[in-house]
Amino acid sequence: MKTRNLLLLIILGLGTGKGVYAQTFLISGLVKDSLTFQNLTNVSVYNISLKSGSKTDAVGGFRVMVGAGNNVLKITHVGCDTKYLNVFVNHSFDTIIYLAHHQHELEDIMVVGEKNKLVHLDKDRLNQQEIIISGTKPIASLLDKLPGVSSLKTGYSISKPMIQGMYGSRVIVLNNGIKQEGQQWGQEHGLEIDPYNTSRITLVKGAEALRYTGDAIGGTLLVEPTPIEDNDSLNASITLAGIDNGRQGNGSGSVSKRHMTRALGEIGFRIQGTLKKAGDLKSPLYYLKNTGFEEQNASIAVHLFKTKSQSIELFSSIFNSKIAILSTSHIGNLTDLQKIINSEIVMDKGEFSYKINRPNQHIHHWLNTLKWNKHFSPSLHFELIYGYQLNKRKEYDNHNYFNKTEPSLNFNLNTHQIDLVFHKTFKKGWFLKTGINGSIQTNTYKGRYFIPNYKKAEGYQFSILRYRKNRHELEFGYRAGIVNLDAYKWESNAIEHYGLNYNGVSFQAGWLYKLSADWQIALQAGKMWRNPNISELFSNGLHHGSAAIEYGNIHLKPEEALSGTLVAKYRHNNTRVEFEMYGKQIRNYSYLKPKFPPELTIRGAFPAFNYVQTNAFFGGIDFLLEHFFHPRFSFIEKAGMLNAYTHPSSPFINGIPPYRFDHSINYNPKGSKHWQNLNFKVSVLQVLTQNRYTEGTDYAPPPPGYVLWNVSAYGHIKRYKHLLCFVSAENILNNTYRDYLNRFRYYADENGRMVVAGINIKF
Amino acid sequence: MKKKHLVTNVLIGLILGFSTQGCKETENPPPPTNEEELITTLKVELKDTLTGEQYSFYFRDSDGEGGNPPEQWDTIKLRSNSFYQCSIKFLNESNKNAIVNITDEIEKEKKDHVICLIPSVVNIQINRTDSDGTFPVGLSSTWKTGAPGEGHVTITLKHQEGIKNGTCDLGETDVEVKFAAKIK
Repeated sequence: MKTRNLLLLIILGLGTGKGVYAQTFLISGLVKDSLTFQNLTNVSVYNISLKSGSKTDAVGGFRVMVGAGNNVLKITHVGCDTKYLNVFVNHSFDTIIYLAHHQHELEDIMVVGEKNKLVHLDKDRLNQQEIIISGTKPIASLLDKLPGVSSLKTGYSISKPMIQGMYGSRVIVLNNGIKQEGQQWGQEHGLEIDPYNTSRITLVKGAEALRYTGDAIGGTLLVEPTPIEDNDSLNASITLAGIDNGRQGNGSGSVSKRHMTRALGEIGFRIQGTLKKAGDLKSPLYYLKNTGFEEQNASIAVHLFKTKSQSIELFSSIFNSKIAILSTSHIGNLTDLQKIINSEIVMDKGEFSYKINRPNQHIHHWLNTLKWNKHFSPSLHFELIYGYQLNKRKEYDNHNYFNKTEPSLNFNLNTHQIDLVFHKTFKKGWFLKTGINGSIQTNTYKGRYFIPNYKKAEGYQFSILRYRKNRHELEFGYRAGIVNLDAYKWESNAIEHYGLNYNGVSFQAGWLYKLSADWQIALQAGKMWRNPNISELFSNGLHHGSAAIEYGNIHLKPEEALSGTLVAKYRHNNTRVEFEMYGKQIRNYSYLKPKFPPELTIRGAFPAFNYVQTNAFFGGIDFLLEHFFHPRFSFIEKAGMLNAYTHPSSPFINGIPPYRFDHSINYNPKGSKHWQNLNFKVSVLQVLTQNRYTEGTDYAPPPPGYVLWNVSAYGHIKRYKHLLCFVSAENILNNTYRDYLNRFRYYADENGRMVVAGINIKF
Repeated sequence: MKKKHLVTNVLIGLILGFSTQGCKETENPPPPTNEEELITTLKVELKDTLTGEQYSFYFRDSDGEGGNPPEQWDTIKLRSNSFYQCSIKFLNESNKNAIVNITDEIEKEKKDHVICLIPSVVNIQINRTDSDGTFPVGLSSTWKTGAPGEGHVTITLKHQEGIKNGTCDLGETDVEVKFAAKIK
């Protein structure tokens, strides 16, 4: 076994051409601390072979010329031993070098440099440190940090991602390479993934997304579980965190070990578990009655073997949660809803409790994956991924008669998926990725009818072709699919069978041009299709949480979205800018249209909605700016601005995120006697009022905009280098506000100040 | 070579194992069960205390909220200047072969429920005659009619677990039906 230096871990390579001379290339990128993910300044990256090099700038960026073939890079940084890195180069690329700044004992180098997609923006990515610090929240709420991504909430503990105004079956989440199958159809169905077992979340758009899905008109999120630590010692990590509001306690721990064997190559495992418990949250004025939750999660990852030519990995995770639903949100009819909205019902101050009363939901999600990677030659390999998921959801209404212990609504969703992908690198800058995916899904329910029993089979074939030359990169991809749906509905004492078939092709094309060392621009255009989901087709009945009667429509046609995106990326010395402008024209956009008059039932009048289709337009801008106005101070501005409307009938679409801005100042002080890698951040979140709203199309107009002040600090203790301490406070001024994307905005204020404190220890 | 075969066999075995398990579940979706706590019917029974005549008025929506519109929604017709004894019944008639009476459950849980009977415009005086010990329940009441006229009577069932205070303002609305009422 060859000894490897683990000084450097290069991942996430991105090809960008700057071939000035035929035989010379450019490696550019960022140098980050592998432990803290901070950008490292003043690191010397010197190419011994060409006798040229540079030092990383204030944002940790570097650029170094390399010749074709073998190059030796010398990386020096204060506090680290000088290390040498052998790189074989046949194209220019952009990369992140993780420097083991704190782990002098580790001596290894690994270059992974995979060219993943055409445009890779930092703004679309969350790293492990950010996730550890905010792991007290549900995973989808963390995504608010990405410009253009919001989370659609049902209270604090249920949250699902919303990308550029779209959610549900228009946003696909890939968990360890497998499409996360929950019951995506409902707003009060959160994303059932443990943030503490997540190392990175990336938003993928463009042709690369077709490798995973063709119907994610909003976008595709890749959630990657924490990998097995890349060293031979026994690694353990513990995170403990608490929040004052809701008196939430969190604990998460993991153990991993890797071992080299002669027969099987690298084998290893990682076991991880998380416990969370929280009680009633408090808004500035009153306790939010029945808003606690508890969560127990566990996962195991096993590398059966990993040699140069092939590897097999197994992963299994269990997510269990019990979530209390704000009592006042399960009301009766329209009259009661109006009473709450008009504040005729005064909330009593209440008192704290950990008890999970009715209404509540119990969720169980079990995910299993098996991955097989095989390299036939350096330029050809395939991966096979098989996934099995079981998602159980039990919803308990406010109360029932006969003291029934069974849930009022009970879903059981089983999904099998298989994914086979070939990767081939050709000469002269051509790359091909092609493969097939298939899945079979069944859903059964007990209790109240909302969604029928069904069986869904899907099959897809996709290819993505890339070409890179000098300053240009081109990509083209397609994904063709067929969907077969058999639904079994109970109608007047007999089972009715509905057989539905859909098929379509999605396309994406992109062009990236590197204008200069600092600037790059990219254009993407595509057409996506999405078949109507089960709730759009078959829902029929009262949605208790939203006090609305919803009617599906079996005649819905697939949605077709034409999209265009312009991306510009700039990086120079102290400044980094990422800009994305997008437009989507959607034909057959399906949504819930109010039906008049309200429907009369034994419980009184209820607003009723029909699923209908129209043409819609979504257009917006996402923006990120980072500027170091002092070597230790930076200003970060994030913005997400979206407008959406249907035409020709009603101009605006409801539930579109209002304009959102995050202004922050980041300070990295010099290490003190006891602390290092200190970081302080003050940020002001500004959410404007959603003014693009048509009077009378919602139970209540969108709530006014708000401004929240948040502060956070973290750092490592010098004596215990692997101890990370963090503390943060959200809504530090304890403002009373309501958020337009929280369904509980009708009933109660958002929670008040939240102080989080915690530690992470690595052994 | 041997190793390769092992790998392939293990893979095929695992996939087949999972898929066959999957297929079994996909064959026959079980028939959905009926919801037993559903309230489909509100029955208002009135007895003229003088003549002993019995009247029943219904609101009936046997497929629950949504779906088909209510199939029966009576007008309460009463004689002027009369005295009636009223009893309210809640039924689940979603399965005609197994009608469930929910009234007994409400009687059992009367500390958590309240029924309000509110006449509007029409000349009826309604007094609830039963009690949970502190507050009225409303399953039984007396109705005294006045001069002829037309209007409405709204009957509401509220679930007020732990918050019952004698009014109909709090809690979750389980039933709310506005009957047209006529006095001749």
